[in-house]
Amino acid sequence: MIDLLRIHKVYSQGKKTLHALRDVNLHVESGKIFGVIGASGAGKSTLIRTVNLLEPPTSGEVVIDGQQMTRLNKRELRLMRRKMGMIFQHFNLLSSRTVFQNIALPLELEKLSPEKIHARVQELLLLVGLSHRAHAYPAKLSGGEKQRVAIARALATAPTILLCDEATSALDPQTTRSVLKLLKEINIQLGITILLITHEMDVVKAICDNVAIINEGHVIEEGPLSWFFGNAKTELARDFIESTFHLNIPEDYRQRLSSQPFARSHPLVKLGFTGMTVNEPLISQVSRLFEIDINILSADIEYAGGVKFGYLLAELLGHPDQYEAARRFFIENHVALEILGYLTELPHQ
Amino acid sequence: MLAILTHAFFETLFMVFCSALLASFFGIPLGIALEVTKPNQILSHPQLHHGLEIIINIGRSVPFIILLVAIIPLTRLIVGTSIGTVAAIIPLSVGVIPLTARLVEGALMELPAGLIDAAHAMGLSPRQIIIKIFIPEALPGILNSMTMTLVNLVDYSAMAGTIGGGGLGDIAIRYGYQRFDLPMMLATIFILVILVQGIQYGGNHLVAKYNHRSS
Ligand SMILES: Nc1ncnc2c1ncn2[C@@H]1O[C@H](COP(=O)(O)OP(=O)(O)OP(=O)(O)O)[C@@H](O)[C@H]1O
Ligand SMILES: [Mg+2]
Repeated sequence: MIDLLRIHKVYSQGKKTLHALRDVNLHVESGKIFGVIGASGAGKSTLIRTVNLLEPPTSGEVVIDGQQMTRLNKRELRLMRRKMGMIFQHFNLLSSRTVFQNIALPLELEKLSPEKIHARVQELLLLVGLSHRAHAYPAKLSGGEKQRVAIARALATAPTILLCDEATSALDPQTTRSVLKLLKEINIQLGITILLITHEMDVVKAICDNVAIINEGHVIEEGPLSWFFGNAKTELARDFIESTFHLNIPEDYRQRLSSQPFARSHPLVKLGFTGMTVNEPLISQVSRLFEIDINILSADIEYAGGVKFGYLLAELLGHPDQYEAARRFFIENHVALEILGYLTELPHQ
Repeated sequence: MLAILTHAFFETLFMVFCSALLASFFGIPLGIALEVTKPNQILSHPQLHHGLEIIINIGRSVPFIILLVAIIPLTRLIVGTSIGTVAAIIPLSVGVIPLTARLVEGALMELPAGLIDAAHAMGLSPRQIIIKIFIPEALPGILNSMTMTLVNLVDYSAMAGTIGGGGLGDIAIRYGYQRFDLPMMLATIFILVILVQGIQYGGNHLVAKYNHRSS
């Protein structure tokens, strides 16, 4: 569907050159949602913009549906671009046109009759849930509504591919969720292939089937979401994964925490569950096998892409000799155990 | 007095609006050309852009009163005479074309860069981008620049009057300056002020009507 082969992109400004993409290879399967994640300046926008040649690659091939994009002449390229929709971080709607007229624009290029345009726009408005705003100007819309208009406009010519350049980065978390939900619905209902770029792991986690990490112009890791959560090896990947989990030590615990064990202290631990972790009731097994009481303080565990993934904050209460045995047991079962510190026993125990 | 003023007023109106029409006809496309031929723009053409820059800068650096005289041969060629209200239209238009072009360029420069990305992504041709995106999106700015052009033309038309163009400026100079006819001069000034106010008011009204950007 989308194939990027050995893509290099070099920006040159006077004598300075900047290697924004280095030997990028990417294969996006038809009907899938593919997410590319990376930090600011990693080359995400450059990458997605090479797909429809908004940014022609310095070298390498962009192949869409078997068509080599870089070989097309200007007219052929324009026709090809109409088979791909694109949405942007800042929506890029026309302020001089109403919602209806914005969505109608790509249809005007197809020289459709006004009746056909009208019918199609109504259909799209219904799809994105904005029928009641058809005659409003973009300035009067919320960010989420603007992005819905942009989505409707991008889908007007029934493209097979939708490119999303940081489509939710200008939106608040709740609006982000609703826009992502819409993208997922579109993906399922219309079977459209979506390539999105983002700097937020939450976006990837919410809707992507496949994910790639880009860093300094290199794709450093790539795979299905479930594989990614469990097997990503690079530190950057781990950081992105951790960024979606929000585990904080409660303040009163933090105050009682000491970095070294002392008499009658017990450990506070962070247990990390990954895709490798066996799906068994490990907590109660440890409790039984090693006679350790486990007090869970907080947990942020998600089921994404077919695997359980997340963290658990707990205090282990038992005989000091058993802590080491429990630690080994966890590690054998692919639960990462990190001792955050030691706590005094609670007064009532 | 009233007859003289009325006649002069319509002469001024005629000069100003005919010149504005001509200036827009040449100035707006010139302003668009100036913008779209820039590097990284939709019809990037550095040499052409550079050429347009030079021409417009020359146009803007010649003081209008000099242009008025210097352009007489051209005026004769086009109109057949260099004297009269119709003849004044030529220097007036030529005088404000560079200004109009610059103002239109400015209106286009204010458009968000993302619009071009969106347009390319939708598969618009450069011609379609100009017609369907640039002009409608910059319309408030373009109307604003036409208002300024009109106001400038009222100003310049007074100068054109001095070399036989007629109109209110001519009256003000002939009666007010040369014959010390104070009431006549004050009356022309009054009418000019009202005219400029009216143009500005109408212009602002149109800009507001077509401006749908968030205010
Ligand atoms: N038109 C350009 N000319 C020169 N350098 C550019 C251009 N566009 C991007 N770059 C550079 O290429 C690198 C990658 O930029 P890109 O916009 O692809 O990053 P990004 O991952 O999208 O970052 P962000 O999250 O900040 O949008 C950056 O160092 C950037 O400065
Ligand atoms: Mg970017």
